[in-house]
Amino acid sequence: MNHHPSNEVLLKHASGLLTDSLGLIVACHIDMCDSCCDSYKRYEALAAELVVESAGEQVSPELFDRMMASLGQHREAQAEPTVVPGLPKPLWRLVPQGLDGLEWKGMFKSVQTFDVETGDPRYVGRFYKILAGSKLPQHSHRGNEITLVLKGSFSDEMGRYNQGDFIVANETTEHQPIAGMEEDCICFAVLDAPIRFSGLQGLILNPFMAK
Amino acid sequence: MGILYGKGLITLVLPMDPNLNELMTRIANDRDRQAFSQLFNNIAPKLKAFLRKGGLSSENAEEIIQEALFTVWDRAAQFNSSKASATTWIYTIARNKKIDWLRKQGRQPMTSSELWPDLPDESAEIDPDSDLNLATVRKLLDNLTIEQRQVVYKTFFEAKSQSEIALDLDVPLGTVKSRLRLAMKKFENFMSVN
Ligand SMILES: [Zn+2]
Ligand SMILES: [Zn+2]
Repeated sequence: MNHHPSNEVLLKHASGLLTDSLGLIVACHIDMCDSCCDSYKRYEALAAELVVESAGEQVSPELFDRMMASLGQHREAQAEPTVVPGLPKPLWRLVPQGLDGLEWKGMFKSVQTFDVETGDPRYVGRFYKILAGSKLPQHSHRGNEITLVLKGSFSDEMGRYNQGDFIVANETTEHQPIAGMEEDCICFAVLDAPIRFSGLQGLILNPFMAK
Repeated sequence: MGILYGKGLITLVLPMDPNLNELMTRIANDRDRQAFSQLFNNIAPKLKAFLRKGGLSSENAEEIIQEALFTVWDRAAQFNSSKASATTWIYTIARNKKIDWLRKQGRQPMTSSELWPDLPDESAEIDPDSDLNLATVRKLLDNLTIEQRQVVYKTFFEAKSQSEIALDLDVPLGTVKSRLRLAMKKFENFMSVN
C-alpha cells in the first residue's frame, strides 16, 4: 500500500467531522491499513486531549441528578453487524450481499459498476469492476472522486495502485486507468459528480456529458 | 493546564483530574457510584463544550452526554487501560453518540459503527510509557504554540473554514494557513517517528 489519506483527513475523521460517505471510505481504508490504523488511534487520543483541555461549559444540575437516579437502569442494544467476508467492516451493513452478490451493470463487460444506496445526498457510493488487463476510457473528473482498491490492482499515468490504496481524483485529474493482468480489479469509490469521458470513446460512451 | 480558545484570550483552567483511569477501574470493578459522580463532574462540562462547539443546543448536548455517560457506566468492564486512556475511551463514546443522534435526526447518513468500527485488537498493547500514553500526546500538544493549538481546535472541533478562523482571531488568512500547516507538519513528524 502506497497511497493513504492525509494526516489532516485522519484527524478530521478522529474529530468526527467526516460523517458522510467520505468518512465511510476513510474508515474502510483504516480497516485495511495497519499504519493508518495506528496513526488514527493516536489522532483519537490527540482529539480527546484537545477536548479535555478546552474550557468546559457548565451542565445543568438536573442532568447530574437525573443520571444518578437512573444509573444502571438503562440498557442499550448493541447490535453486531453480520460479517461479510471480503469487505471492510464499514461496508457490512450497506452491502450484506458481499462482492460476489453484486448485480453488476454496464454496457461493456470490461468495465461494470454497482451503485450502493448510502442515504448520502452529496456523494454516490459506487463499486467498479474492471476485467483483468482492461482499460477504462481516458477521462477527467468534474468533482472529487475517492477510490479504494478492494481487490486486484490498476495503474494510470500517475502510478500503480494495489489492494488498500486510497486515491483522490479531482477536476485536475485526467487519466486512463488499466487493470492489472493478475485478476479483475474491484474498487469502491465515492464521488460527488459524474465522471466525464473525453475523446471519441467518450462521445460514444457518454453522449450527454460530452463537452 | 487548559486553554480557553476564545478570541485571542488565553485562560488557564484547572488541570484535568489525572486519575480518570483510576475512576474507571473503580466503576468497572466495584460499580462505585462515588467514582462515577467524580467522573461526571470532571468530564461532562468538557463534553458539553465539545458538543456545543459542534453546533448543538445546550439541551441536545446534555441529552447526548447522558447517553454517552450511561454507556460509560454500562460498558465500564470493557474499558482496557492498556489499550487507550480513559479520556480517549470516553471521548470516542461521546463522539459516536453524537453521530448516531444526528443520524436519528436525519442530519447525516452513516452510523457510528460504520464510521468507527471496533478496530482490530491485535495491535500491541501499549505500555504506560508508550506513544498512546497521555503523557506522550500531551508532549505532542505542548510542542505546538498556543496560536497553532487555537487554529487546530477551531479547524477540527468548531469545523471552521480558514477564512472564518481568520475573522475569529483577527489575523490574515495566510497566517491561519501557515499555523495549520506547521501544526500538521509536527503531527506528521510525530506519527512517522513513533
Ligand atoms: Zn493507510
Ligand atoms: Zn478516474
